[in-house]
Amino acid sequence: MSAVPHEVVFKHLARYLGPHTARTAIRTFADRALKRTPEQISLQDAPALLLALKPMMRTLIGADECEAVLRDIGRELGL
Amino acid sequence: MRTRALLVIPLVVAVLYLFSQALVPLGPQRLTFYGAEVASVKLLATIGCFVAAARFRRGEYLGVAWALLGADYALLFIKDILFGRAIHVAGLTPEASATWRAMFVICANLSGAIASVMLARAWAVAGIALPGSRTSQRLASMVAVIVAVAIVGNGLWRDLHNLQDTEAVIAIASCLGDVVSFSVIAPILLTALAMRGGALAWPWALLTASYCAWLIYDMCWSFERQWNLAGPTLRTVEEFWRAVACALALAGGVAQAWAIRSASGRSRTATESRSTTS
Repeated sequence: MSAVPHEVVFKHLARYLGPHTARTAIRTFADRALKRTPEQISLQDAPALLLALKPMMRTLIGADECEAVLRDIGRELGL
Repeated sequence: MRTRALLVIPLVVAVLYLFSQALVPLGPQRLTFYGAEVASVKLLATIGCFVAAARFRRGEYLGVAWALLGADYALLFIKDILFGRAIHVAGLTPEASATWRAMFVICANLSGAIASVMLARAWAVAGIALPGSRTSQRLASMVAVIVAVAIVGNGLWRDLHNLQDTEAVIAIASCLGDVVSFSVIAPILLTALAMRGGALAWPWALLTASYCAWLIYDMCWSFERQWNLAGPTLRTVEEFWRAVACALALAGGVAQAWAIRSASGRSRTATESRSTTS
């Protein structure tokens, strides 16, 4: 069974931001970048969502670690 | 959770302080002890803030904020060991020492105030939402500002009437820096609450606790007349809260570094496990 993109992103973000902010961030940036709800995010949409999340992650955990987290998410999604 | 172990830092520092100060007799020895103790706890806070700043690339928002907070503690530490009343460079006149102290305190407080505002605005820069409605957030900020002014204002008013004294200028600079820092406790606390359950909640929670400890420290200093405590007792209480505040800043800095390291550590582990299996 393939992983649901927004759930994979949530799992990784929640470690840092906590479940509440991780969920809100995904919803906000999915809407802002793709005009979709998290549940509507497909595997093809995932790179755009990750790109939208990047500035937030860079601010909070720094560029190096942000790249590591996004790389992990990408790998898990098979991107 | 390993980060929870950081709570041991302020506890150990508090116990060490209470135990060691009780062993030193009152008088000049106690003053020398305070001189060394205050410098030591500020050094701890400096280390914590720079440990956090080192996890970011140069110029990154939170890295700059942590570095400025570290610079605040570092300048106060340097001031204490070079121009303090108990410990100081040989050959300096008391007037020259006081002038240097004033310069260091002004620069330190400016740095600390900018750092606290940057930390308080991190949620907005990152684009995350704080818990509660806009109205409740504004209300919390207003309460923090009122509490800050109420606590610091009393001592500030006293010092404003004594501007010819260099020590009063130092106190005014410190008070103004504290008003700014305490005013941003609400957004820093709300940031911690927003990220509850995540690794990044810890640095914000520990920073909030550090600012609260500084608030209590200032309260001791500001209401010394009203409390009517004996001088040595008041100093013991003041220094306790200063030590706790600095220890919490150290813990907050380490928590920030650990939160970030958990990302790169996990990433490394994942890469290693992949290369082992391939």
